[in-house]
Amino acid sequence: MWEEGAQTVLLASGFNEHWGLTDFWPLLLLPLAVLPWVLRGQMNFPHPALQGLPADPLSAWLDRLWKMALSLLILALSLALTGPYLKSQYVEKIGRGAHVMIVLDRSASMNEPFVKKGDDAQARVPKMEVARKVLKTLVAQGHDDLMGMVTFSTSPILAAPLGNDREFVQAALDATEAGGMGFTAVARGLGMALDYFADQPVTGARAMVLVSDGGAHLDGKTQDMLRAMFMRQKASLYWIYLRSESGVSLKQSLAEGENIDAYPEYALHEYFQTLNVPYRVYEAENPQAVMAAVRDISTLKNKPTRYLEPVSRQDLSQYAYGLAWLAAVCLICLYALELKRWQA
Amino acid sequence: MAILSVPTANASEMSPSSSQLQAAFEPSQFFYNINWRSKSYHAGATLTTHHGNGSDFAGFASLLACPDPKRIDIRASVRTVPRQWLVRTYLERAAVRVYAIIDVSSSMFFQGEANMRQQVTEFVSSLAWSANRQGDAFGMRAADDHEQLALQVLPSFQPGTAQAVAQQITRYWQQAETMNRADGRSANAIPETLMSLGSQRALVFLLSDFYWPDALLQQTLQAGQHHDVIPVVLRDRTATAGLPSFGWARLRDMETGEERSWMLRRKLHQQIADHAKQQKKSLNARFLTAGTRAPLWLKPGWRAEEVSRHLMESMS
Repeated sequence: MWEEGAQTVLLASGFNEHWGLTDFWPLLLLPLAVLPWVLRGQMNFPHPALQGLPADPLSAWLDRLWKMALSLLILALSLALTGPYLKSQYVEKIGRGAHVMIVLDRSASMNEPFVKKGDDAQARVPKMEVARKVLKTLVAQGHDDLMGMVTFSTSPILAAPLGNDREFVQAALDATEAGGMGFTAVARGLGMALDYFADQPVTGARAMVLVSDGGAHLDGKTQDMLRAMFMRQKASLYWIYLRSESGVSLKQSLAEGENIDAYPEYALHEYFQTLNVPYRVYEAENPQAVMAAVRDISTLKNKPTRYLEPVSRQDLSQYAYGLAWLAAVCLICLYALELKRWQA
Repeated sequence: MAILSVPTANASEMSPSSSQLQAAFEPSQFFYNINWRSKSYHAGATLTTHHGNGSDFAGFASLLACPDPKRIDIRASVRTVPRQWLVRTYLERAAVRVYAIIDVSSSMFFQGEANMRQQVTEFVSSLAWSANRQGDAFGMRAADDHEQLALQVLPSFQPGTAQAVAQQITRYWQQAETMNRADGRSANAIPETLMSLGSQRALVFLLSDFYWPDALLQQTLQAGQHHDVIPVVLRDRTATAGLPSFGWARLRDMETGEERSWMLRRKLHQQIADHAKQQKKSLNARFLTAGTRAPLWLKPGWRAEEVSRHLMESMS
């Protein structure tokens, strides 16, 4: 009967579901807290007659405080020894930012230098490095945004899932220092990134930030599929076009009679315009232009979005230690206050 | 007059403190007067109710009733009608019994500024000395929770009583220290002990600190009602005065074992001092209403002259 009662109490308090104990044996020490109330070992001075003397509430409370502090110290220390913790759980948070999925091109072409007006060697930095710098500023801003990242070369890799964890995304960005390789499979990267929106309700603006130098050809079937996915997910597309030295500018239209297939980035631009979703392209000729793109994206505020954020397992013993510390300080004060000798 | 409890030949070789301790048993003499009539027939200094060979004039009696021709009062005889011979009669003087009742409860073991046990020894041996010098019988009883037979002295006129009593009490204190009597013993047997003194009126010195519950005081006063009781109050003033000025302390009542904490500060000092003063006043009032003599508050370093003065001035 007792066991059943204890079990229901434990279950009701959410034991093993929300919290738990690392060790159980220190619970055996808990009854020691009775000792201060039972033992009479404290130093005292004999007095011939106390009964008749007036009662002093402050003194009585000091004595009680001493005993309570001792009990508390014992309780807190034994509780701390059991090592209580809150299990990992999800906390519902309300965000006000956009859902931003970064799709970063890691193909071999990204290793090529960035187009620059100046010709000095210092300016010839790889596109990848520029992209990384840009994205880091994007990630550093707008802390309400949910962010995720997919990198792709020949096939897409999920670098960071969509979430509020900025560290994760920063780390994923740092990991791209390894350098690019392989081809540019834009469609597969975008597809994977769009998949991340698939299982979530539409609660805010969804933005795909494609950081690429283009250079990919999409066949008709893939184009249709991508278009359908964009429509379904209602995601807008921001393309930060990193133009290589040999690449064309997307600003001026092609000359008459030129074959569009010779300029895959231009073809891609043309295709994105037919997606029926908000689409903007930022031609990153210089870092200032890129910053404009970052600003635009960070202004994407919208209706509050609810999302669950995982909280890692939390150690509660620190609070018990804090309590024990308080009790110990109290005891030290009382000890300092205590008379060691009766005669003044 | 100087009676040393342990006269040692090499006292001068000892350290000054120890020789002082032993020489402290010199009994001093004080005087008391008694305003009631003794009923005993042992020669002494107290007036009795029976006629006899004393010097206190009682009245006239017929020569036939009191055939003592050397005490014929001619003037008184001449004034009588019809003429008859009148004889002057006198009252006899006799001894009384003087008792010391000692409270040896735990609270008397309190170690403070005054050595209370030493005071008890000194006072009682001085009392024995004084009583014997006045021709009275000295007896002693002591009690805590039970009557202590080790301290019982039956009333006696023996000249060496004072010395014997001093030795007896000293031995008792020494034994008590080893037997841990300083804890948890109250003075509950005091009324019983007073009852056991017998029906003859006696002069009773009641030595205690009178840190007693009201009921016990009431019982004691009732039990001592037909004796001439002189309460001798021995209280160490360090119990309620001269406390440390600031600090927190735990105190244990020596008799009940009750623990109490005191946060000593100015307010509590004031409370304790007020209470001590009020207690003294109420104790005096209790004794007054009970019809005892005025209590003798014995201070450390008391002098026989002061005690004599108090005893002569206070009448029951």
